Amino acid sequence: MAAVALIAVSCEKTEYVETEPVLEGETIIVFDARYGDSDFELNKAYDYKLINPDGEFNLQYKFTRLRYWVSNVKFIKSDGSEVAVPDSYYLVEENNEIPVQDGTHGKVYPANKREEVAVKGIPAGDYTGVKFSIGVEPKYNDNLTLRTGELTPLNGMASDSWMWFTSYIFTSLSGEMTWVKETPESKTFFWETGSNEQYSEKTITFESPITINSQAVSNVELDVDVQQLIDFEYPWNNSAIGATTPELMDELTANYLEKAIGLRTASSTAK
Amino acid sequence: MYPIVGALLAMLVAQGCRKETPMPEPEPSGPEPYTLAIPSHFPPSEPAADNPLTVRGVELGRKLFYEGLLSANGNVSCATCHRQELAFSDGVAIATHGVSGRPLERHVPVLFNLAWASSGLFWDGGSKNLESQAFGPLTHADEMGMDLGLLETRLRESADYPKLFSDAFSDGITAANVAKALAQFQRTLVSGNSRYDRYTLDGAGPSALNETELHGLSLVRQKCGGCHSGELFTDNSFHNNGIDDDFSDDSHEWIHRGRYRITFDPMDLGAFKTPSLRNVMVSAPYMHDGRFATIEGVLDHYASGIKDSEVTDRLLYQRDGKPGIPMSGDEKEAIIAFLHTLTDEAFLGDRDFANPNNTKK
Repeated sequence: MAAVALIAVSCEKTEYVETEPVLEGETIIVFDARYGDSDFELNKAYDYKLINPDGEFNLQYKFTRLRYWVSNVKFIKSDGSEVAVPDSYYLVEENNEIPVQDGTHGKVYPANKREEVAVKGIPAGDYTGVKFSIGVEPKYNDNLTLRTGELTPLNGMASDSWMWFTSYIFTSLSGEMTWVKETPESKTFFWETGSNEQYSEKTITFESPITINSQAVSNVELDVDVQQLIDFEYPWNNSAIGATTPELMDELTANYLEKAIGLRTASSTAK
Repeated sequence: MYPIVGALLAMLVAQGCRKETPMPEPEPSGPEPYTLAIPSHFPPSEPAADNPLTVRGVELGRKLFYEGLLSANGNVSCATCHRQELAFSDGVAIATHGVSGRPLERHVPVLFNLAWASSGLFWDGGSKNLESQAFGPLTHADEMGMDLGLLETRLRESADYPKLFSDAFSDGITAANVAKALAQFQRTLVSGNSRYDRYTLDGAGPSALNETELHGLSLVRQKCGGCHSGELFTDNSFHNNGIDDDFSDDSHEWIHRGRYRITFDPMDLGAFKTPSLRNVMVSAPYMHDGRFATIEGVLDHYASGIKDSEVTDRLLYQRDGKPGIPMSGDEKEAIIAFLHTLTDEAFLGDRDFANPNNTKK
């Protein structure tokens, strides 16, 4: 009897009582495209009043594409320290079908709308803000064969026209602009940024701290006001912005980071 | 009896509660590294940190270099425009052998000693490394016109490539690995075994250069060495050598403006990368647009054809401020005699760089 008891005692497993552990969590960052006070939609005409040294002009914009890389997301704690989310590269986009390689293969990049970015693996904590970059950092931008997060040259954000200068396309905005006058005129516009000089960081500070962990649901809603993206002195004469127009790319990058993107709300609640 | 029972029970207890410790799996060995043979008189080269040379990677890269499947119509490979016997150039000023048949905007450059091309690829250095460069010709409508997604599908559906890729790369068939394999193969294209090299390393003897050739060597070092310097016979930098003085053409994203479209430095207008003088006698025509059919034409340009503009490189000016590198007829002949000694026959015929596929592309 004693021997049996010995065996039983020796092999007893220790029971752990499960309490709910507070582990790392995730959050959703929403990049909600707007046009001023209205919703943003592709293929819809928006009025725009252009005022520049030459006078006042009535324009209309119809957009067919808005795509940009969001990268290197960092959450900021109340003590100012930053928690970087590894491999945080996301493609935010709203686009019509895009022919691949100018349609030479009959292949298209499908129409898509993606405004929500689910950021995972954030250490549990209270956060007072978030930082992210628009574009691709030099390490990955200088070598198109390196992979991280969603970054890839296979989705038209590293296309033909940027191949002679190693860089991803950081932001891409295109469509048709119409000069509304007695005989209206229209032209397509193609406004892109890229190159290491355009890689820029944005800091968003929340009105009050949010809690991110496995027991909470949180989100950060940002406005992306397209009416601010198109703020140029002479948009009509500059229907193409890209690698050969670095000063206009500077302006366009500033439009994204300093004018268009802003906080709407950030909140968290317990699950 | 009890001590025995006790011992047996003790063993039972020990057996019953011991967790099985599995034998550790042997570490899988990575692909066998490829050691690049570097001529002893060459400067050190920078290895690519993210794409180390491996035997399998280089083999795969060579096969891909000659592979027509990489193009939209299945007929154009890298080797279509980069032919080994011409030091991997194509012998014409402006190629039309791409999938569209349309002429390109620049002359096909030679491919060798790329492990030393530290200032970027293309005539204006816009491509930062060999890995990123490959996507250009692969996707360009007038070159191979390929869709990178379709490329991956084609390779996956082929008989040979799935295994060849998994032998060389842990993540198998991807467009990135196509570019990496091609880059690895291209880094092995080292040209440093011409008559000049054997003379430089062996001195007098069977490789000795004759009097005219030696005179030419000294002239090249003295008159051309400002740009065509060192054992690579290029400084891998960018110079405007006075073949043009009008840069108003902004077509094709400023492709005719040279390095300027990369740096936006006005002094880089019309500046292009110094090509090597190695194998120059087998890789006519010359310049970024192939405008000079013969080396005599090139020497005549430098002697008396340089266009004087604000951005013409000052290295090409004489003490009196006139542009030009004076050369007598005899000197031109000696220079050309020397340039022949830079032809690396071993490189041009090396089976390790030739087409490994059965069908000729």
